[in-house]
Amino acid sequence: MILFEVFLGGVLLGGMYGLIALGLNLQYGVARILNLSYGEFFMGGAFTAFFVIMLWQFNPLLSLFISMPIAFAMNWLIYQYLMIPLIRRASDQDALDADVVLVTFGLLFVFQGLALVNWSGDLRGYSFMSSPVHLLGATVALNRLLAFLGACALAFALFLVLRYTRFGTALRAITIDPVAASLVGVDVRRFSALAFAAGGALAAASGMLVSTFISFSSTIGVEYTLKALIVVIMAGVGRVTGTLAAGLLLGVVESLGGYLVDPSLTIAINFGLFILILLLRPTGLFTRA
Amino acid sequence: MDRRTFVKGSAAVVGAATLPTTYAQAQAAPAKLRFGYAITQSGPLGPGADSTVVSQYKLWAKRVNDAGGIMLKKFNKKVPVELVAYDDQGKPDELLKLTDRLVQQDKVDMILSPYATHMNLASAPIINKYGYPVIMTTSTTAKTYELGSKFPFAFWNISQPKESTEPMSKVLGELKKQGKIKGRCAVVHPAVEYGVEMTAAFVDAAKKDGLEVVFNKSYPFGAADLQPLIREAMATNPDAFLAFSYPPDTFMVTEQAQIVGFNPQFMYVAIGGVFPGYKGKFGNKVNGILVYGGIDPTVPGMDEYNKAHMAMFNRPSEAGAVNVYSALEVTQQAIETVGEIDRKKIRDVIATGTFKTLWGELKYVNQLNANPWAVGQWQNGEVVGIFPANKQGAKPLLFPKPAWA
Amino acid sequence: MAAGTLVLALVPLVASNYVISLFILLYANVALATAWAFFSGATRYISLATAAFFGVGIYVLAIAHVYVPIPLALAAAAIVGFLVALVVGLSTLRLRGVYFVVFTFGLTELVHQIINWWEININKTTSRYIFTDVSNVNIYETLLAAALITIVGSWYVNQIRLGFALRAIGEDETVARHTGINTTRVKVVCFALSASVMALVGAALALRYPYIDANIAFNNTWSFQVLIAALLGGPGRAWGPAVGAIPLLLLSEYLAGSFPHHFSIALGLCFVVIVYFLPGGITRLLLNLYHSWILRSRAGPSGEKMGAH
Repeated sequence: MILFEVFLGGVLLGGMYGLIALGLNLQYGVARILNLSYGEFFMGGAFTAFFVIMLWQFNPLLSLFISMPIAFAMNWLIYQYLMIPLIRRASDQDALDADVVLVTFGLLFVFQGLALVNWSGDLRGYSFMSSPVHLLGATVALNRLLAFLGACALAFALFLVLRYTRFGTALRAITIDPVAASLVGVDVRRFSALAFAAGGALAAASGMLVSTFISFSSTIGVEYTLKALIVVIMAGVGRVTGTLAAGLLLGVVESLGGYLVDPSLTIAINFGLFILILLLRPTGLFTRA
Repeated sequence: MDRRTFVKGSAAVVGAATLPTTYAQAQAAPAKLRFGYAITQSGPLGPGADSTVVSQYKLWAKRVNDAGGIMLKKFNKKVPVELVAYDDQGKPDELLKLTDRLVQQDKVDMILSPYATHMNLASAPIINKYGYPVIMTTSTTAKTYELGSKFPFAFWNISQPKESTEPMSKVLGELKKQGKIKGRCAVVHPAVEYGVEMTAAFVDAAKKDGLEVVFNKSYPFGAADLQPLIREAMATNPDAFLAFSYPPDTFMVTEQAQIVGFNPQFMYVAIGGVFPGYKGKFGNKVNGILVYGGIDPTVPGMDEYNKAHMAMFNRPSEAGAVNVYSALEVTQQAIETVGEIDRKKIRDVIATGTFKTLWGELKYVNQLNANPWAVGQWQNGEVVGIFPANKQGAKPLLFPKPAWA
Repeated sequence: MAAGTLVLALVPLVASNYVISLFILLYANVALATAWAFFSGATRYISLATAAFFGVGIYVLAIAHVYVPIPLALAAAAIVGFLVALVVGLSTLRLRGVYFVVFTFGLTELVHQIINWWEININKTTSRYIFTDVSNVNIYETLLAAALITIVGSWYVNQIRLGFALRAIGEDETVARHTGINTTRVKVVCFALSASVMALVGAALALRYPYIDANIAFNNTWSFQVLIAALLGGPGRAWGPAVGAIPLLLLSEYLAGSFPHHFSIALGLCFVVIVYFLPGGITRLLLNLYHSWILRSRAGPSGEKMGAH
């Protein structure tokens, strides 16, 4: 019975990995910007939730109404005023990547520094929905279940948007080939900006959901950007709907592997799987190579 | 010459003779006493450093300056304190370079301890080389016993692995003899030096006290889900559950133990267990949990300290921070005893003196704090010291831990 | 250049410990950045494995210095770094672009976790102690030598066929292969060479740490710092990474002292400013300045331009 619970825990963990990565896959896959400051918006979402529950004693889910619009707006502005000039002057994707890495790295420092100055480096945590839920003989935490359901809901919503709306079709076109997309009349710049902004909002949402069960501080941004990047690469850049699946695979293998082999190897297994997948499918699980 | 003139004249001569001396003395008193430190302000260890250490440096400096400064009796003058701070980014290279900078560029009068065992250890050789006495406040490792003689200028303030775990093993052994428990212990720890050493020390002690370590596993620092591990521990039916953890896992272990309904009668978490944030998150459920470190909340001066802390940071202090504050008190008292900044003499005073501080009476033997608070427990919503049981203000162990409400 | 080297070599005689410490870190960063750009700059395979090889070097030194004299331990570090990179290189042949980047990052973490696990479970400890009597001055000279040799080596390789092969791979690997270049051999060997330098630098710096563990040894900050330094410096020249690393380190040092609490913010803003006003990195800036100075001096007093550049 413990095995089933470990498996279920792995599923929930995987949902978390997928959730964190959704926004980054939008930003990198569609807008083609490798945003190193992505994790700072995750952190912002976590802190907003913290203040909403600890200072105002409201349900932290309400903080989404604050953090998501702010993250959306900030990321949109970043794309319009900081990224577009770089895109215009870059000779190819590699040169653009180089510039983008430097600038977003700088933004990372700025946001992290602002957080440190205003909120100090203290570790924060709060209790929200930390009650057990019994599912088929296994016990899981309600807050982790909530994050998992949130991940599923967001991934499903993204899937619907991408598959069935004009906006989504435009995004998919841009992902496949921006030049061709512009030739058929897609306003690449405008849609990329919106995708980038949406990615930022998703970062904040994932931060809020994860903060219900993991403690955090001003400096966790980098760690989560990297976690997200691992999942994005594993799924394949631009494979937004595959992101959740890749995350789930990672979570389940990590949890089961840790339980069956040695708990001290969970992170090693996590990276080991990632490396293995890349060796077997160098452009990600779901990319048609 | 009449007598009045003679007296006036002599007075004038005597006055003139002493004037240069007092003038020279007043001139020699430094305008400020500069205390420098390089500490981790970014990266994964940043949060702990801020809450436990940096806050105390700032609070202490403010309180000292509010009282006029540190009294240097050589100059008969109180001199205010100034802090010089750097971020070592958690890298030993930076710490070494910044220490050089503090000593040679900034020419600070005294140096304060960095944060975390590996940084405290990295700092010891270099502050010793420069002859700056420093009380290391966040280092727990068996190596400390060797380092006492190697680095005479380094002092070690907190409880080391043996002293931190033996009392618990002993009390568990007694409870077993009394038939209250079966003596089954489950241990988990993160894959960091602290976790490894504390576990090793406990396992050694447990053997001697007739306890059975039925579970002993480690997890990577930063693990995202410890529930499987806790389940496994729970399945071995232990009376005592000890997690020699770091702050993020301290929080996670506590939450997940509650989720799965794991109710050991004796539960210990390590670093971070004393954080106000820990109580903030778990409320009354913290009562009965044992933690690393402790304090005697009834020590005189504690109330004013807490008020000042609240006023400055808008949050209460924590037991680990009181340890840091006590090191500052010792340093100040030593400087005042010597009367001036003579680092060799200050070092000798620290090595041989007895000091009254907020952390109790401190005395260093072979540069190690002789009897620091090793184990505390949350009782009635505050952390109190439990072991060493012979310390002033030690409270009896609350056993068994109340079940999660 | 020789005169400059002599001057630098003599600096420790007159400078304070702080300056020596600063320069030690400077040379380390220059050597790392140059070694990194030697492979990644030319081939465009951006590697984040710097920290992995750096850490390997530290561990080799920590283990070897107990058994062999220090110079041998340093050499051992370089050799082990080379071998590890050979294995890694051979296994990553099919990866390109950002996949390669993140793979190297994942690899660093994997090595970190495995070594941690090994130390704890097999060696029953997490840490090792390094007590040596090597003076700061010796470390200074070693790293100065490493930095110079790396820059000269990199410059030299750029002049010969191997350098041409590297750049060809960076331009278009398929075409390079079709012109007969054994791209696999070139990539793997050069990757391994750069890794051996990184391991050597790690080993040399480790001489100053009394205490190491896997978390200290495998610190990703080194990977990012080196990447940033190289990007800042700009592509195309062997001395590019050096002119990126030096201001980066000095700027950090200056900011850390002046704005200890706002250090992060100030540094971040500097990056953003640099990218917008210095496209092409500092190399381009210096080259532009140099060219305009040449033009102006050739123009003569009448202001006539005598030939374009």
